[in-house]
Amino acid sequence: MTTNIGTLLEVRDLNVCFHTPEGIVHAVNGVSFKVLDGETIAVVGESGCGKSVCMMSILGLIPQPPGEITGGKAYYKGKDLLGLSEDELAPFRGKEIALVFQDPMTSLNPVLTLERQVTEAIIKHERLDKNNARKKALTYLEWVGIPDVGRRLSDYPHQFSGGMRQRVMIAMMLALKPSLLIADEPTTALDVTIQAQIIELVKEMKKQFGMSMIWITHDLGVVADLAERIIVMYAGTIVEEAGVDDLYKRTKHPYTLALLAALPRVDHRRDVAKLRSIRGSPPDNLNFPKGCPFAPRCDYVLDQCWTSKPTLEYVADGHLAACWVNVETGKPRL
Amino acid sequence: MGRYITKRLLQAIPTMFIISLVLFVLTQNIGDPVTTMGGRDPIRPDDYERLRTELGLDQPIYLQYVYWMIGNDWTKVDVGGKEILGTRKGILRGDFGTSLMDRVPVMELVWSRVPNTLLLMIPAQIIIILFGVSIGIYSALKQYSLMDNILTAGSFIGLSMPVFFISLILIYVFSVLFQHWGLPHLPAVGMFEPAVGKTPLQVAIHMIMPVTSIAFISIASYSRFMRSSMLNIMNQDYIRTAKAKGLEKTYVILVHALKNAALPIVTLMGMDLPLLLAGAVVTESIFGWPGMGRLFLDHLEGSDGPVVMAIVILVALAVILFQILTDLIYALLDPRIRMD
Amino acid sequence: MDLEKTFPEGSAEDLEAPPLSLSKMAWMRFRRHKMAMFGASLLLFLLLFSFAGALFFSEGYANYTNTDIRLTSPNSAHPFGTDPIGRDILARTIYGGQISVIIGLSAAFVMVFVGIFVGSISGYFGGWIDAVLMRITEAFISIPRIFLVLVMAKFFSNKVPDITIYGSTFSGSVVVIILIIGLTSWMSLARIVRAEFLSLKENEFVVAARSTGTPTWQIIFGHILPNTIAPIIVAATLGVASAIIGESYISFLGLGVQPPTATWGNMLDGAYQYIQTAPWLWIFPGGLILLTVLSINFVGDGLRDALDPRSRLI
Repeated sequence: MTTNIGTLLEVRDLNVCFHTPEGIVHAVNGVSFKVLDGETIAVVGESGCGKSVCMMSILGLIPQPPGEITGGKAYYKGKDLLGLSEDELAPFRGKEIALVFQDPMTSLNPVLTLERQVTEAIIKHERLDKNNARKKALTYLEWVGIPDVGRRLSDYPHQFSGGMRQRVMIAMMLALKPSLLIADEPTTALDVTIQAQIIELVKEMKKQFGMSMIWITHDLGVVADLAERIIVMYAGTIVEEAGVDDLYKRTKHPYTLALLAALPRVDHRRDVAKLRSIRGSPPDNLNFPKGCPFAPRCDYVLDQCWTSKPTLEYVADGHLAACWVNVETGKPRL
Repeated sequence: MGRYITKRLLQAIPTMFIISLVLFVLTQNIGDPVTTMGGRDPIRPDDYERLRTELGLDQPIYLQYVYWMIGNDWTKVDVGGKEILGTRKGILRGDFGTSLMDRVPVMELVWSRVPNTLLLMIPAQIIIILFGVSIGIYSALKQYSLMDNILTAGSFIGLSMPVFFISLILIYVFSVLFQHWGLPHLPAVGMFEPAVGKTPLQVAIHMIMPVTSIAFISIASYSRFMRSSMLNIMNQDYIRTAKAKGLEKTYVILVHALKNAALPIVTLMGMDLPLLLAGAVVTESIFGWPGMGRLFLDHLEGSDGPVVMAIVILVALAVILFQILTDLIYALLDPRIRMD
Repeated sequence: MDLEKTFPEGSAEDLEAPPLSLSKMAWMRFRRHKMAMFGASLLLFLLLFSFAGALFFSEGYANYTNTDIRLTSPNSAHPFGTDPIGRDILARTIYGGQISVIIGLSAAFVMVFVGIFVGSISGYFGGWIDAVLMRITEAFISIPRIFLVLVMAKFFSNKVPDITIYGSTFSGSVVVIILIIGLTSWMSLARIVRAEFLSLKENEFVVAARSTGTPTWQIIFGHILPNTIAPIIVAATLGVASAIIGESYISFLGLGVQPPTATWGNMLDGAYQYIQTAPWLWIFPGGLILLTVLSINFVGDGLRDALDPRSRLI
C-alpha cells in the first residue's frame, strides 16, 4: 500500500503550435500527464514529436512568437504556470523546476567564467553573498566530478570538454535545489562512454537528492534503468504510457513495438537479426491527416484507424494507450 | 599574441610597398604642377626647365620613385646648373618632401590640418557608437514593433544617402530655414566666426552639422548590424539556459547578451575608419572646414603630387594600423581567443 | 508478442510533395519579403522614369540653356524647376538617371568581373599566387576608396575622348568613372569568392572532375563558380547601389562626369552655391539617388534572404 504521494506537476490538454511562413505547425496536440513527488518519468519519441516543446512551454521557454500556447494547463504545486507572465515565472525557473539542455557546447555563455555562471542563480534565488555562493558552487561541482575545482572556477566554458560541460550544467541546476529536474536529451550530444558516466551520475543524484525527474530522449534503451514510468509520444500526442516493466514486456502500441524492435540488440545473432527501421517517414506537422497519425507506418492498421483518431485510454492497470487495435491479437480493441 | 602582431605588421610591409607604387604611378599624371605654379601668368620656358630640374621632375620615373622613397641626400642633384648634394631624406625616413604649391615641407602642412579633421572624426565615432549600438539593441529587443520597423526603415534610408545629401538637408533646415523663420540657426561655413575668434564654443557650434553628417550613415549601418547581432545572440542556447535558471530578463540582457554583442563593435570600428574619412573629406569641402580632407582636395586640384601622396599614404597606414589595433583589442576581449 | 516481425517497405513516400527547384524556391522566398517586393516595384518605376521618360524629352531639350528662365522654382512648365543656366531640371534628371544607372550597372559589371577573376584564381591555386593577389587586394582595401578614386579620376581626367553611341554623345569621363569605380570595389567580392573556392575545391565533385582530366579553366568556371552564384548575385546587386552613390560623390566633388552630360551627382555639384535660394536644385537629384539606392538595397536584402536563408541573421 503506497503512502499518499502528492502530484508535483500536472499537465492537462496542452496544445502548442508554431507560426511559420509555410503554415501553422502543430507541435503539441492535447498532451496530459502527471509527475508525482520523487518520481522519474521518461518521455520518448523521435525528433519532432513535440517532447521538448511540451516541456519547455511549461516554463515559458519557447519563443512566442513564433510559438503559441493555444490551450491547456500546467499545474505545478497547484499553480497554473501557463497563465503566468515572464516576471511571474522567474521564481519558478531553476529554483522549483530546473532544465538541463541537450547541447552542452552551446548552452553555456562563452564569455563568462564558470564561477559567474554557476553562482549567479544561487545568489539570486537564495540571496547569498558571493563567497557563500562560491562555496556552494564548489560543493556541487565537486560532487558532479569536476577535477581541481578551485582552480577551474575562473576558467571559461570553451576550456572544458563536452562531458565536463554537461556535468557543469547539472551542478549548476542542482545547486538551486529544484523539486523537479527536466533533462532534455542530456546525453544525445555526447559520445557513448561519457553518456554512461552522466547516467550513473544522474542515478546517484536521484538517490541522494530525491527530486522528481522528467528525462526526455529518443533512445528507449537508456531509460529502462532510470525511469519508473515511460511516456511515448508521436506527432505531438501521447500514444502510450506505462510503468517500465509493463512498457517493455506488455507493449500495447504499434509505435512502441516498432521502437523496441529497432533497438540494436547485443544478444541477437548477427546473421539472423537485421537492424529494423520503421518504414515511411515522420509525420508532417503542417498537415495532420484524419485519423491516427501513425496509420501510414503502422503494421496493425485497420480501416477505422484512417478515419478516426484514437484517444488515450486505460488498457490495463496503470497502462494507457491510444490505439484502436489489440496488438496481441491484431483485432480491434473493444 | 606577440607573434600575431608581428605577423600582421610584417604582412603590412609588402602591402604598403604596393600602395606606394600604385600611388606614385597615379600621381605622376595628375597634371603638371610646374605649369600651374605661375598662377595666372603663363610660365616662361627657361623658368619651366629650371624648375623642372630643381624639383627633379626631369629624372626617369623609377629614379623619381627611388628618390621619393629613400631621398637623395646620398647623391648629387642639379640645382640651377650646379651639382650639389640632395636634401631629401625620403619618406621611409619621414621626409615627405616639399609642397609644389606652397613650397613648405609637406609634413608641416599636413600636421597643421590633422587636428582639425580629428576634431570631426573622434566625436563622430563616439556618437556613432552611442547611438548605433543603443538603437540596434533597442530594435532587437522590440522586434517587429512599430518602433523597430520605423528604425529599420530609417537605417535603410540612412544607408542609401550620400553624405553630402545629408549635409545639404541639414544646412537647408538648420541654417537656411531656421534663419528664415527667425530661430537660432547653425552656421554652415568654417570652423569659427572670424569676428568672434576661435573659441571652444564657436568651434563646437560649427562642429555640429559636419559631425552629424559624418555620423549619420555609420549610425545606420551600426544599428543594423547590432540589431541582427543581438537577435542572433538572444536566440542562442546559453540565453535560454540563463532564463531557465530563473534570472531576470534585464540581467540576462545586460550581462549575458550584451557582453557577447559588444565584441563585434571593436571590429566594426576598424572597418569603419575609411568611411569616416570619406565623410570627413566631403563635409570639410561643403562646410569649409580646414582639415586634411580639404587640404587633399585643394592640392589634388593643384596637381601637388607630394602633398597628395603624403596624405594618401598616411591615411592608408592609419587604416592598416588601426585595423591591426582593433583586431588585437578584440582578441584580448574574447576569452576564447585570448586563451590560445 | 513477436518483435521479430519484419516491417515491409511502405508506400508512405506517396504522401510527400514533389520538391521544388532551387530557383522556384528562391523566388517564393523573395516574394514573401515585403520590403524587397516594394523595392523592386520602386526600382521598376524609377527605371521607367529614366528610360521611358526620355520619350517625352529629347536630350537636346535637357541641355537646352535659356538664361531668361534661370532658377525658376517648380511650376507647370518646368515641374522640377530650372537650373542656373535655365535648363529644365526634370529633363536633366531623366537623362541623368540614365547615365547614373548605366554607370552603376557597368561599374558593377567591372567589379564582378575583376572580383571573380582574382577571387577564383587566388582561392583555387593558393600558394604564392594567393599570397601576391591577397597583398594586392589588401593594398587596395587599405586605401580609403574616396582617396583612391579621386586620385584616379584626376589621373584620367581629360585623357579619354568622348564617345558617340546611337547618336548620343557620352563624355569620355563616363567611361573613366565606370572603370575607376569598378576597379576600386572588387576587393570584397574577391575575398568572398576566394573563401568559397577555398572551401569548395576540396569537395568531391571537384576531385571527380580533376580525375577525369577536365581542364583547370573548366573546373574553375564551369564547376566551382556556378556554386558560388548566390553571394555573387547579392554582391553585384549591392555593387550597383554602391556604384551609383560612388559616382555621385566623385561628380559632386567636380571630378566626375563633366557637363553638359548630366548625372544626378554633378547636378548636385552646382546646387551648393544656391542652397539658400533654390532648394529644388538639389532636392530632386538627391532624392532620386536616395530612392534608387534605397530600392536596390531592399532588393539586395531580399535576394540575400531568398538565395541563402541560412545567412539570414534575422
